[in-house]
Amino acid sequence: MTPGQAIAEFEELLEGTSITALILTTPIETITVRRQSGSALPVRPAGRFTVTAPCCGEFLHRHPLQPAPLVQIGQPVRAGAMLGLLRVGPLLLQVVAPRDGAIEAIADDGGLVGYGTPLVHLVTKDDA
Amino acid sequence: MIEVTETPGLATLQDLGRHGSLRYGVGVAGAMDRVSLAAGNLLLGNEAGAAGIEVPIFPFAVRFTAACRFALTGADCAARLAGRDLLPWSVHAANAGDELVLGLPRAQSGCRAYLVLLGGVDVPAVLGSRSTQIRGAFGGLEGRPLRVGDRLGAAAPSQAGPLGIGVMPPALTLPLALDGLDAMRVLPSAEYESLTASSRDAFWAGTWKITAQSDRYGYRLAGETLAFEQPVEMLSHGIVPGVIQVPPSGQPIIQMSDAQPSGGYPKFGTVIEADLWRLGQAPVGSRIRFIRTDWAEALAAQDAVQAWLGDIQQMIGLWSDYAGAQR
Repeated sequence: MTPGQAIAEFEELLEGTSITALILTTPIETITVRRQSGSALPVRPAGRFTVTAPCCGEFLHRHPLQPAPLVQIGQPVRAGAMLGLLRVGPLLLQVVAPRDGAIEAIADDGGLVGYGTPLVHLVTKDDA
Repeated sequence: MIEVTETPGLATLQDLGRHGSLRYGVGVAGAMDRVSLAAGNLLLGNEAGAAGIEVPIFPFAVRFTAACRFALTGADCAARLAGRDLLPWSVHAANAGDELVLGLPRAQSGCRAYLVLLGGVDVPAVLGSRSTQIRGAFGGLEGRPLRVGDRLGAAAPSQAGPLGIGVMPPALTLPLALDGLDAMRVLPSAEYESLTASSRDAFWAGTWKITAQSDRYGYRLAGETLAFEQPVEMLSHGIVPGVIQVPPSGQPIIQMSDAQPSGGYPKFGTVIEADLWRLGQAPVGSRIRFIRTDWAEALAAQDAVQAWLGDIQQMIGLWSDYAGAQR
């Protein structure tokens, strides 16, 4: 099982329970899955497509060398467009729009996010 | 694989340098910013010694004649691929027919861009290196800078790393500045004590401008004139990139990647290896400062650069496994 699969499974276990955190300790690592209480974005509003974080990191609106954010609220984007970056240690992972849409909401710049945290809500053609 | 469609000049193929041939009078050459080149190779999973294209003058453009992954590192030069904006310090995928255009570097982001192809540029190694040795007219592509119409292939990649990733630029993660100016650490060298005390002080306290007479061979600096206690006459002796010479004009010269293997000017000091990449990205006309250091600090600084590269390699490996397992 990969860490991603493990975390997804933990999520399922937590769903519908009053448990707020699951901690798995092995001889080499510890995985903590905590229920998000104060996420910047509400989870999946009806009729919206939500782009979520693929792992934990710092969500960035712009590349650290560039002054302008990659996208603005209200802006239409095509599938494959970059919406933001997730900084994980020295890595910058691209957060990409999986389909065409318009940016309705975006998580705070510089905010720490966890696996599955909603980053961007897209209004897609299907929603209109 | 790629064909050069625009180059104002001096774009060359470079790797980490041609080491071990100084005794034959062959300089080291190699990328002016080896950290950028190394990061580009790590991003693609290339061998550390793979050659990339160093671009010092813009706009520079190539057309991909086949689909190819590539990485851009070094200066952020508003790169566009088939009309789309590309992020700096990232891996990208080109389709056959796409044109990649590198524009003017964004201020404060450096002055040299590196275009690295998956597998590395496929040219023959000469004396163990693919770096272009312009003075000797060998290495790289026919020992010369690239021209419009040049076609370059990539060596077969050992593996393809993940797409959609980039790394933090080292200028942000390993910054070094003094009074708001980019700074480099310097070890005093053999003739340091021959300069007057006030000249030695002026070197450390002063601001130095990189003059237009600066290139891959060396940087000529402008600042306060440095003077010797007595004239120093020396026979030619071995020198390496980083050595700071003081010619009779009193305006220092820093030897860079294409430094010749010997010289006769007295040596004030040496920019430490760990900071040569910073100097390699300092544009003509910019002002820099120097910080006095010692042997132990110089080694620690080199360890820090290696640790940063090691960190990138490890994290890319982890992400590659993770992303691969998610698919």
